[in-house]
Amino acid sequence: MQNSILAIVVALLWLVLPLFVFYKFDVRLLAMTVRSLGKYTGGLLVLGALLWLVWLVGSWWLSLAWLLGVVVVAAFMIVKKARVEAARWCWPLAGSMLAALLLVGGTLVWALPDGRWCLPFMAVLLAQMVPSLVSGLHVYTSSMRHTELHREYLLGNGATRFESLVPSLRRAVRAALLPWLHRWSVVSLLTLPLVLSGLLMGGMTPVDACVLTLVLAVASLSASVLALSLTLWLVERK
Amino acid sequence: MLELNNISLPTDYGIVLTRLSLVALDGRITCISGRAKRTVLRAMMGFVDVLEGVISIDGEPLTKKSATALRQLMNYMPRRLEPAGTCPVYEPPTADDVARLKANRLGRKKQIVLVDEPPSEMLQRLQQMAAEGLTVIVSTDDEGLLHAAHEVVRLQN
Repeated sequence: MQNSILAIVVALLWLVLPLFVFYKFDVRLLAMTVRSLGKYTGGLLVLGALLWLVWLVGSWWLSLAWLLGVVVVAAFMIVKKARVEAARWCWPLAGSMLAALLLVGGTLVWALPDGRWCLPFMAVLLAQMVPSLVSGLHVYTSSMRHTELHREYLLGNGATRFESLVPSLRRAVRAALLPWLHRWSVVSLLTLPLVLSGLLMGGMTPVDACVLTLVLAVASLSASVLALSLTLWLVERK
Repeated sequence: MLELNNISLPTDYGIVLTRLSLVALDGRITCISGRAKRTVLRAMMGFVDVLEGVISIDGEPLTKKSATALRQLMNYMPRRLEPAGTCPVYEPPTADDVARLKANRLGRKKQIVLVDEPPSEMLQRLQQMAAEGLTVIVSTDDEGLLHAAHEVVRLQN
């Protein structure tokens, strides 16, 4: 903790530099920075307090309740970002994300050596799923809007309902996969993955950190595809 | 054989088409002309809810439940495929996509051909399909096609 306080003091000292620059050139930026940093700190304090509580109690039901709350909030955020109809998409999305997290994350957490990694592992999985689901849902709904004539063409030639949806489903899965391909293609010494950096800072050996980062990446991809497929199935089943 | 028995339909123009009856027979070209011709064609595939009356295919009524199975007896050629609104990447379904449909892989003969506003150069192909014993239903205002059809239904405003 002593180290942390020293780090906070050093960081605050370094903060003086950008604040001084903003003060000199753009006072509005100074106000915005102070406001945003205040909000960020407040949010982190609340989050930290809640996490501490969950950590201290250490019971599975509290962890599950925490996960459930976070998933619902994430689902609302995804629906808003993807600009899709909340009433139709939010609950299937939340249910699918929870199922994907429990299935993919649960099996991997079971295989991990330390049970305390459960919450951070799930949190990372969830955070990694968000961009994929946003682009997948956005592309799917926009494809459905644009391709009514296409679906009639396929249906008129004997397609089942599922077959008529396949082109839009294909586009959605492709769009959900693209953030992953992009992320995986830019890993280099200059852009160390955040998860890897976090694990290294947490004291893990570089080899273990790399292995766990890879496990997390694969698990996140699987969870994203599973959550997207489940969501589309729940919304489109008739 | 495809039969429309005293049907009423809502159209895209906000009017209701009423008391329409027709029988499209195997081996013949039936043309539908007039403002709501495409709506009638879509109703034959079960895409438009019929307000009253019955559409049947070989005696089997076309309902929401039976539509998927009955559409497997059809070939549909739309006038054109285009996206609704602006679309960043346009990927229309191809003939391969249609060929890969389960209904087409089964190799079952498709008895009914629905063609939406074909070009007049397609007349020979339509006649050939009718000669093969297929039920050919065409929505068109092309006088050449209307003249060559075995039956013509003119929808009145």
